[in-house]
Amino acid sequence: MKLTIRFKLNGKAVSAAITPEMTLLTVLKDVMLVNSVKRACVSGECGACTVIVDGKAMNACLILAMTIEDKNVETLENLGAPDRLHPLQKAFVEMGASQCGFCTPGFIMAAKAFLDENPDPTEEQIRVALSGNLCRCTGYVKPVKAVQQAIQEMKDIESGLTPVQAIQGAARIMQGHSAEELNIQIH
Amino acid sequence: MQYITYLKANTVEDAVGKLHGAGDNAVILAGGTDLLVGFNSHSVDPSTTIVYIGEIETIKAIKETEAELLVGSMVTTTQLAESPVIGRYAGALQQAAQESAGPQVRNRATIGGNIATASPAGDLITALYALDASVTVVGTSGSVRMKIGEIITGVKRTSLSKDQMITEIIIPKKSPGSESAFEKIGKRKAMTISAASAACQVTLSKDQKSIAEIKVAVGAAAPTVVFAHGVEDALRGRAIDDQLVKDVSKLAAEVINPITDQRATKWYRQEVVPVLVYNTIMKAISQVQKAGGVA
Amino acid sequence: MKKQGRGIAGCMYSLTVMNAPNPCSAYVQMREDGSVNVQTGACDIGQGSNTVLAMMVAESLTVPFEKVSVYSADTSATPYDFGTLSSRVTYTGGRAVLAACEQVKGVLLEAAAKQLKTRPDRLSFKAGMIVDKYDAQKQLPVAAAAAISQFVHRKLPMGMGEFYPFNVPVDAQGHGEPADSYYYHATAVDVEVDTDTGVVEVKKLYTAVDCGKALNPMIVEGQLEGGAMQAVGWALREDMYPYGTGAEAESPDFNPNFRPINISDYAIATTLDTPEIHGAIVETHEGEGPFGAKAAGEICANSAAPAIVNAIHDAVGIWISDLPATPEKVLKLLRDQQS
Repeated sequence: MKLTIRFKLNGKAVSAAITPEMTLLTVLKDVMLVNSVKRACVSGECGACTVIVDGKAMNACLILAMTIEDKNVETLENLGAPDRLHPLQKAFVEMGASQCGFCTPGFIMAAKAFLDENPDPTEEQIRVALSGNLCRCTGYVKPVKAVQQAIQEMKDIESGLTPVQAIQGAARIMQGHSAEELNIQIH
Repeated sequence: MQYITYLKANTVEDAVGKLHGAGDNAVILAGGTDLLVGFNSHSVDPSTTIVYIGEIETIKAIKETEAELLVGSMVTTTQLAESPVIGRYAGALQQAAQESAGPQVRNRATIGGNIATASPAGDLITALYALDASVTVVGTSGSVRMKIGEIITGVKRTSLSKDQMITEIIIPKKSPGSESAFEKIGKRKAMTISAASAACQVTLSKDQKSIAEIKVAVGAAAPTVVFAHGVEDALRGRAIDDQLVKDVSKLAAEVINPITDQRATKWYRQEVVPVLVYNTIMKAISQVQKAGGVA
Repeated sequence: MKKQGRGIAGCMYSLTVMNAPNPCSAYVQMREDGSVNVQTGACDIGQGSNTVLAMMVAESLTVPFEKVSVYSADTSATPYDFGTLSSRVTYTGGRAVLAACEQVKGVLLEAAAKQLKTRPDRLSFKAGMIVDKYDAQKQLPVAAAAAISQFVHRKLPMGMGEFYPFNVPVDAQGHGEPADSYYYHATAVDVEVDTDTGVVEVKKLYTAVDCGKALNPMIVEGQLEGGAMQAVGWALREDMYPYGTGAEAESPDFNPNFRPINISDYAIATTLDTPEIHGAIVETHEGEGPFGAKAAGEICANSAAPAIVNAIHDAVGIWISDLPATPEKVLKLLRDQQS
């Protein structure tokens, strides 16, 4: 028995034909082909499948897809593209906060949901907000610093830039862009 | 191919009706943080009927009356961790909520689910025992109110029948001069299932020199959460004395019946439970004293 | 009661696989627009070897980093590499890639010499240009040399590089030279031991690596920090043990198995378990290494556990001889010490 659910995925109304036992993770990854959502522990322990549902970070593997009817689901795809990275993505790239990269989408989504509610947190609060995301590569030093740098950049954007700062910012973004375009295409 | 049946309940009455209709195959889905782990790890019996209660608005709020806190069963752990009302009147519950799992799970897991799952390692439950909480259960035969200890009967076992659901948790507001505290020990500081936990509520005398009333609960060290009555009796009416608290906390080891599992051995649980009991009592006492004079 | 202790430890580690042939190979080709295509089996599992190899190629051919594409670790398309292990990828992969670059440079110099009417041995690479050392008037962009070689002189600027790390397998008498080179690491930690619960907490951790030349210091820092955190996990929390003992293990049906089977019980550190980590890069120059580099891999996870064990001893006087130093083991030893 296929059922149809309708929900908002990254701002767009979508529908999917699913079976009732599917999790949101399965629907996103296997039905909607959303690449950023990672399947790892499938038991809510690692945070690699973190998505934002109605403003809150949640593990997609622990959500029965049927319950997502009419809800707003946000994945990393909604944040930015290589030519216009979200401050969090840009900071993760620039700070070397991503090594093997498997945990990175989950980290960025957990950080985004948190920063949307707490734009000016302490380091301790950032660490609590990221405590549901496991990373084996970085020792968490650079991910936490990347979130701090993203906060600074978001503040700069919000406060408005002087022309000189804007040019400097554009130059930074262009550097990020060309580095992204790249240099290292892994196939 | 057969699939499970999914039903969404719009009201408590609707949920109870659907549970009754589904009979023995009924399973309540709240936050799903425990249920879905099971679904993911083994195939689900296709005759299962899931009744989802997450859209019932009446059970999602924290309310207060003059004497009680009324916590809807769909209140999430995040709500408990952030609510000022819970912080003011049920510190142990707030601390337990803050230390449970990680943010993503806290955003989803519910207080009602924590009770119905009845894991001895459920952190919220340990706090609810110490806070003398009651639970409202609604079924086809009507609504009943019972103590938290009456609903949880064993490891992952409750006295709930298949057509009953928890709708509300009732916590008496602490009296002036009283504070509660929670502490747990696990393998790490977040995303950790308790190897042992303790919660207490302490009421000091007017002059703040002695313990007027005390309740101590220990989690993850017996099939259910247990009260350390021996500790309570030895401290009730006694002057505050660090060494005395330390000594009588050892009595907590007598009421527990721990097992050895992947999280800790029986020996370690016996050793560490008195420490947790001591720590929570001293924490609660110092919070009362810090709060200043008795209202 | 909480007691503080401090411990240090140092170690050396082999660079490249010991006692065995473990080559790496690479193809490098410069396209007519000056962009460079690198193919190698050297596998980037997150340590950053694709970045570092691209940096080396860019430096060798004096082209911008952005012009270099690395295609790595596709066994159906890329040339052989032994694997990402034994801290060998930067060192071995780097040497293979640079060997291929030397061949590319040879082809480019031939083409440039013909174009500039000079001899290849008078030419050198300088910031994207091929320049006559004795006549600065004679110069040509590297990309132009690539195009001229390909289209005029009918010779593709490409090279195949391989590198076998040196070793003399150790014989029965213990004679030999097991690995090509060695690198060094040290850790210092401050710990706090709760004598009531046995819980050990690492408060501060200093980690230093001699990685030769740090080609990309940010990546080396990442290795230092990540390695340190893994090591703290192994020292304090993470345990794998065979499941089933006693009568169960003697049963003919016994299926040896390992526990824990899930990551809730195999508790790797979270953000809240991380100490204050300070990384230090101790730069040396390894003559055999690519641009003087050695490695910054596995060794970063090697000396923290002994440093922590030393610090626990410093704090409370017990010796942990069986990792991890779980609260349970620490508390048992403390109780034994008291009695």
